[in-house]
Amino acid sequence: MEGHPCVRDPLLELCIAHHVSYKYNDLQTVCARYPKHAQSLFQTYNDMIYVQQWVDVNVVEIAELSRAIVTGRKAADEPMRIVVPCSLSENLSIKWLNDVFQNCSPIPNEIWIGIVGDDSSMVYYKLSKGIVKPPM
Amino acid sequence: MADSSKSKIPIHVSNKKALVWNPEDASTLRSKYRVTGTLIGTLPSISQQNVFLGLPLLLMPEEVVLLVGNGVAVLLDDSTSHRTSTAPELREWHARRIKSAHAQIALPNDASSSSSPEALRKRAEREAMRAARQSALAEMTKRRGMLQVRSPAPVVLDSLPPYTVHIPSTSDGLSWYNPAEYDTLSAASAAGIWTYPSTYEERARCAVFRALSEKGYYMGGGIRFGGDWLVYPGDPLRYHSHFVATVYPKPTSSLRPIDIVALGRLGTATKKAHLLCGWDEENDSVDFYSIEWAGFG
Repeated sequence: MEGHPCVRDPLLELCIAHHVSYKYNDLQTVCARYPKHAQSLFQTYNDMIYVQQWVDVNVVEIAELSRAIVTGRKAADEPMRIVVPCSLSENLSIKWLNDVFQNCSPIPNEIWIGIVGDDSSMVYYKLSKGIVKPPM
Repeated sequence: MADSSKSKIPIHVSNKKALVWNPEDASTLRSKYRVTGTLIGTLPSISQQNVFLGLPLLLMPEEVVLLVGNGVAVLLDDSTSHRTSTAPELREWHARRIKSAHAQIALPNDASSSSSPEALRKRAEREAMRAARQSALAEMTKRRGMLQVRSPAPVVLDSLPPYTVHIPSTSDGLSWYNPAEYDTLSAASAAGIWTYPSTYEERARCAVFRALSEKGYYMGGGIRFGGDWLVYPGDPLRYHSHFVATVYPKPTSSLRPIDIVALGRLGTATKKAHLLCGWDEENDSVDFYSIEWAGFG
């Protein structure tokens, strides 16, 4: 597809379609609606639930961004966090970050970006709006 | 010479490098305007000096743009400010230098070192102790009747006490110096003296630098940490920097996820955060985002 380097992998899509988490309706709907985003969304969602073991994990579609975010809590007593799945091969920008922050409701002070590689490597980085000091 | 520019700090431009030669000006820039610059001067006689450097202070181009744009400083073109001196002028200058050197030598040492009563008393004590030791040693060898071993002659201190040499760092006292001043960036650019910023990217850097400076931050060079600048919450002599900043000239400038990983990880490993600074020319504003490794995943 023009401008997008993600290669669609039919075998991967078959695996996703048969995965237990795919029965979760929102995930299925959003993956079908935004196929370019499906791999990173699917990977991030499952990583958060099974590997990071977060709670209250939900998929929230944001049409303006043509993608979904995943919300959840690190633990039951932790605040709700927003994770934006993204592929290593995507091309982001400051404008992209502005749009992500603006289209989350309510507008957050920080988001986590879940970067997914082709080999399903997963890494999370925290992006805060503004000049935010690192913790000591 | 116009008096109005007398209160402005002169920035001497030499081959497109901005230098400050006056120590009071360097101090004012740091304390009042949060511009630290980098000292790059060495003494001609110490060819390997590389730890403590002195004047001149080299300014970053963005620092120059900020200072001149705020009317705090003027640009001086060194090459056209010095005409060729005449032979009588040179003779007079040479004579003044010799006279100054003699006057400095004649001074009873630097005021801060050994002319205080305390220092003189201590020196007298040391001299007395050394004399006592030497006479005791002589006495001992005489009594034992030993052949006096010829020790090397004690070092005779140079009769000249240590003195401070004052080297004038500005051209102000020279009769053939008539500074060509430019108090706006456009005037300096028209004359070809100072042309920064000339590209879109350079303008973006100046805008981001100004935004950070107006928030009260001090900026230093960022090359050691993989960014455009180090951003300090106060004087770099007192604080470590919290941020490494990178300029993104346009809102649509490419930002790859792998860059977020690289910048974020390096920042976190060095107890800093990486600061993405996006210049939005249309709105004349800067968007800031701070990157930190999440600590999980």
